[in-house]
Amino acid sequence: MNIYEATIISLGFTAFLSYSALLWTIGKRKEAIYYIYDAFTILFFILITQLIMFFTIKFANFIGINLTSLPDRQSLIDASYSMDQIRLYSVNWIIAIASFRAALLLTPFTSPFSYVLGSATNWSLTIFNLSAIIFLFYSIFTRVFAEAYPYMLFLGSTLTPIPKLRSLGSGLLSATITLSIALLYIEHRVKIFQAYLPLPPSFNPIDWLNIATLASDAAIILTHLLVESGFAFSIATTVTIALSRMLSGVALMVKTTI
Amino acid sequence: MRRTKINVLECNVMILYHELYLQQENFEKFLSNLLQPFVDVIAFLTALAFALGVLGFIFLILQGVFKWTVGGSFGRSMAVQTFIKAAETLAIIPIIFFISSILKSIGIEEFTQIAEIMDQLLQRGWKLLISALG
Repeated sequence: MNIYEATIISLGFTAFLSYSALLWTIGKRKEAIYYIYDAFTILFFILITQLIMFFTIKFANFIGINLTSLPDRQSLIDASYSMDQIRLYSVNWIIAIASFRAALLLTPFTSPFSYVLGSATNWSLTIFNLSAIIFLFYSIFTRVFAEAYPYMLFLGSTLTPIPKLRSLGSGLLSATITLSIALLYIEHRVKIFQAYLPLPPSFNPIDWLNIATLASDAAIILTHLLVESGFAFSIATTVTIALSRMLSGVALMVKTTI
Repeated sequence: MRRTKINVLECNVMILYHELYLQQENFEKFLSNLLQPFVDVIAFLTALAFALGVLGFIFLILQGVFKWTVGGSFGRSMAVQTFIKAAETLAIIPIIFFISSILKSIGIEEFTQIAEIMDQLLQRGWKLLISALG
């Protein structure tokens, strides 16, 4: 806990205690006791926040991410870079297939093979397009999130203990923690799958026979990545809402207003 | 994996976030500026609570003395109740100081940090009260 976090939390604690003292002196004893109770929940929620962070690190280790403390800004920037690698890989495949088809079209007598190659790699191309677009989004999202992450974590961990600000703080805290873990998990999977991704073949005519098979192999691995990242995101969203509701955050407020 | 020569996305993003990245160094300065009025307000609230406690104590003691002298035998028992109320009213001030000293000695690092800052706030509030009274 740095000095600013301690200052904000102790400001909240002192405010609640002095307000309860004020109520006590003017004779509103019941309300004063209620505010003293609120002040002591601050201390309790500091421990709860620490516990959530500890559990997050343990869970990250369990799913294979190497962490000793909560992720920092730089690790998220690195994650954004690895996701961008997948986008580049997909784009390379798209360009490779397009250039093979162009080469076949331009060579005399082989132009029908261009259409054959087109229909054979059609579904793989769809996957490449999808992964290029989706990983572009993931990469930029991770980069944006990396910039906002230190502030969100700071506000989340400081505002969660203070009763009146808890709905703001717990929403930020749960979103920050779960999203950072989900993004690092996607990076982890990307790094594992990168070793198995086949490269587009060179301009060797013998390799051209193989291209549809290679493309489909690459497409299957990319589909694995896409599905796993989507799954990680959906789980992260669910956990964010659940955690936020657990700490009486925004989700609970939304539910009660509806 | 084949790489393009210039990673366009990374370049753009670096330019885009250059300003924000620079701002991050000023965040602590911004935060300390932002916190200063809150510190003042809460020190004032503490002083107000202490002042009300002291004034209430004096008022209740006077009330008790009045009841004791004027009220006869029945008034004396009423006066004792008022004295107890006065003691309760004043007791909240040492209790708050006591809470901070308990938090310091409880042995959890976060609580110690919070208690130290809280102690400073309370001292500041107390000084405000003393300067206002004297």
